Amino acid sequence: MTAAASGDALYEIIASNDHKMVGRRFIFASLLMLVGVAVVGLLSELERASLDGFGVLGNVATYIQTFAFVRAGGVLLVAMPLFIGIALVTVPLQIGAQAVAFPRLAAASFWTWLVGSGIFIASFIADGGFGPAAGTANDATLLTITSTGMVIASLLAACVCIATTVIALRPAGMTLMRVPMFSWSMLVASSVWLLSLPVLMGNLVLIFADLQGRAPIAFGDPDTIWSQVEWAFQAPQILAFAIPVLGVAADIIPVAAKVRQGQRAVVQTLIGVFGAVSFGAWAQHAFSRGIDPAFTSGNLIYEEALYALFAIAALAVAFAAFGGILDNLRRGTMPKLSMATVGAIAGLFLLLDAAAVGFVRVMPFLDALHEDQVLLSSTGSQYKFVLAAIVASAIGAIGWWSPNIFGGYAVEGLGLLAVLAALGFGVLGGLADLITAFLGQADISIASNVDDGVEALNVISSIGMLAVAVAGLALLGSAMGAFRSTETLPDDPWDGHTLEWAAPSPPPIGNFVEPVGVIESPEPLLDQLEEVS
Amino acid sequence: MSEQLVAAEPQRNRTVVVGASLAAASMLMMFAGMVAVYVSIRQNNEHLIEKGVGGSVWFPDLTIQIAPGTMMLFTAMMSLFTMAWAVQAIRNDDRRNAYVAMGLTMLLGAAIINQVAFAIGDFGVPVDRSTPALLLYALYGAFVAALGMAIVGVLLMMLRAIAGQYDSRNSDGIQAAAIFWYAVILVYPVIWYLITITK
Repeated sequence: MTAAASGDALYEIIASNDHKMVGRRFIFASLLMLVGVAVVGLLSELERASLDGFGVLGNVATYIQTFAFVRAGGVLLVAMPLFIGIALVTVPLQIGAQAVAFPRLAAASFWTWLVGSGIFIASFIADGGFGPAAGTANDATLLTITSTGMVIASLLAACVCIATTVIALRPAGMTLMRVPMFSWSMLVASSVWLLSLPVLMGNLVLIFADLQGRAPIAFGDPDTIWSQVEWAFQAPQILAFAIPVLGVAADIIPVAAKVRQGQRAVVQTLIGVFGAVSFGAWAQHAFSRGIDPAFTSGNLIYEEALYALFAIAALAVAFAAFGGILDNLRRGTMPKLSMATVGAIAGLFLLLDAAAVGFVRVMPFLDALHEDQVLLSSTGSQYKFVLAAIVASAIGAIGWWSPNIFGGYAVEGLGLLAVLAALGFGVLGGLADLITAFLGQADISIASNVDDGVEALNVISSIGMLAVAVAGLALLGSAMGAFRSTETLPDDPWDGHTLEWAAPSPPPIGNFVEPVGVIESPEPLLDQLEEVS
Repeated sequence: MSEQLVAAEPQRNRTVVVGASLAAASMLMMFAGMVAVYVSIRQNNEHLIEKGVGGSVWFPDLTIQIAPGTMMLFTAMMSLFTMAWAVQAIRNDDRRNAYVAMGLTMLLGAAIINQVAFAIGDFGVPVDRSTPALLLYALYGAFVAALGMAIVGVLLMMLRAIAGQYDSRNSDGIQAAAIFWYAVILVYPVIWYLITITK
C-alpha cells in the first residue's frame, strides 16, 4: 500500500460518515471497553471473594468505585455501543436505505461517546465515581457525573439516528410489520432507551447542581448518589439493554434453519411488549421513599407490587419469545453450529435466565432474598446474565453479519471460543451470585465473608469475570480477522431472507447497486428464492 | 397474509421531523423525571412534617412572587403562536412573514431567559440552603438550557430559510424546530404550577 493510499485509508477510518465505518468504530471500541470493564470486574470480584483487609484493592472506597464502574461501564461503555455499532451497519441495509438518517450526527455520536468514555474512566482513576464512599474526591465525582451525561447524550444521539432510519427511510411497501426483526428490535430498544435514559440524565442534572462549589446538601451527598442512579443498571431497566438479543436470534435462526419465521407478528409483538416491560425509569427509590435517609416509611421500590408485576411479565414474555424463535429449529433443518447460530441461541438462553432471576427476586415466598434495606447479590446475578446475553448475542450478530460489517467472514474458531466464554460468564457468575444471595450476601458486599461457601462461590464468580474478558479478546480477534480478510465473498452467503443480503458484501457507499423495489413481504429474498426453485 | 397487503405509496422521507420528535420526546422525559423527583421529595417532606419526625417548610411565605413566573408563562405561550405562525407562513411560501415570526419567536425566547434571570434574583431562597431551593434552581437551569437549544434550532432553520432552503413543498426543517420549541415551552406550565402556584 502506498503512503497516499494508507493515508486515505486512515482518513476513511477516522473521518468517514459512512454508516458502516461508524458502526465498525463503535464495535471495535466497545469490544476494547468490554475487556477493560471485565478486568476491573475481575479485581472487584476477587476483592469480594475475601474482604479481610481489602488485600486486592486496598480499601472499601476503591472496592465500591470498581463495583459502580463495572455496573455502569458494562451498560454505557459496552452493551449499548456494541448493539448500536451493529445496528448502525445493518439497520440501513436491512430496510433498504442508502445510508443511516443523520450520518454526521451518527459519526459525532461515536466521537463524543469515545471522549466521554475516556473522561468517565479517567474520573474513576482520579478517585471519582458515584460514591458512596468516604474519601471520594468531590471534583472527580463531578467529572464522573458530567462524563456519564456526555456518554448518555451521545448514545441517545445514535439512537435517534437508528430509530429515525427505521421510521422514515423504509422503501415503498415495507410497513413496520415487514421490518426485519433485528431492525424492529433496535427500533423498540432505541425507543425505550430514548424514553428512559433521559430520566437518568435528570438525576444526573440534580446531582451535578448539588456538587457545584460547596459541600453537597442532598443529591450530591456521596451516600446517596449511587442510590439515585442504580435503577438504570438494575431490573427492570437492565433488561431494556438486552432487547436486541431477541431481534438477533429472530433474524438468524429462521435463515439458518431454512424456514420462514412462524407467527411472525406474534414474535414481533412479543419483542415490543418485552421493551415495554423493561422500561424502568419509574423504579427509583426517590419515587417511593425519597432520598432522605431519615425517611424510612413506605416501601422500597423492590417491595412495590408494580415491580413484581414487571418482573413476572418480563419472564412470561421472554419465555414466549424464546419458544417462538426456537420453534424454527423444530420446523426447519438443524442449522450448522457456527458462532452466529450458537451465539444467537446462547444469547436467548441467557436472557431467559436473566428474566428468571428477576422473577425469583420478587417472589415473596423466597424470604431468603428479602432482606431489609439491603440489595442481595441476586441483583448482580441478573446483571451478569444480561451482560452475558448481550455479549453472546453480539458474537452471533458479528458472526452472521460480518460480510456486511467487515467485508469478510469472522474467524469461526475464535468466535465459538468467545461464545463459550460468554456462556461461562453467565453461568458461573450469574449462578454463583444467585446462590450467594440465598446465603445472604449483599450486592455491595463490604463486610468480610465468614461463610466459606460464599467465599468459594465468589471465586467462581471471579472466574466468570475472567471468562468475559476472554470472550471480549476472542471476539476482537475474530472481528479483526474479518476486517483484514481479502477474500472475495458472495453477496448472500447464507441464503438470507432480508434486504441486507441483496447488497454486495461489503456494501459500497450507497449500499445497493440497484434500486430497492416495492417490498411485498417481510422476507423479500426468500420469496425470490422460492419463486426460482 | 403478507401477500394480501397493499404496498404503501412512495412518499417523501421526513427524517428531520421524525428525528426532532424523538429528541423532543427524550427531552420531555428528562423533565418528567426531574419533576417526579421534585414531587416525590416534596410529598415525603410533608409526610415527615405530619409524623413530627423532621421535614421543613418547603418554601417560606413571600419567597416566590407570582408575578414574574406568570409573566414568563404568558411570554412562553405567546411564543407558541409565533412559532406556529412561522410554520404556516413557510407553508404558504410567505417568506417575509416566516422570517418575522421566527425572529419574534427567538426574541420571546430571549425574553423568557431574561425573565428567568430576574426571577432567580427575586427568589428569596438561597441555592445552597435547602433541597427545595436546589430543585427549584436545577429545574429552572435545565429549562433555560433546553430553551437555549431550541433558540439555536430556530436560528439555524431561519438561516437555512434565508438561504432559500424551505418552501411550501418542503418545510420539514422549520417544522422540526417548531416541534422541539413546542416541547420545551410546554415544560414551563408544569414548572410554573409546581413552583409559582403550589410553592
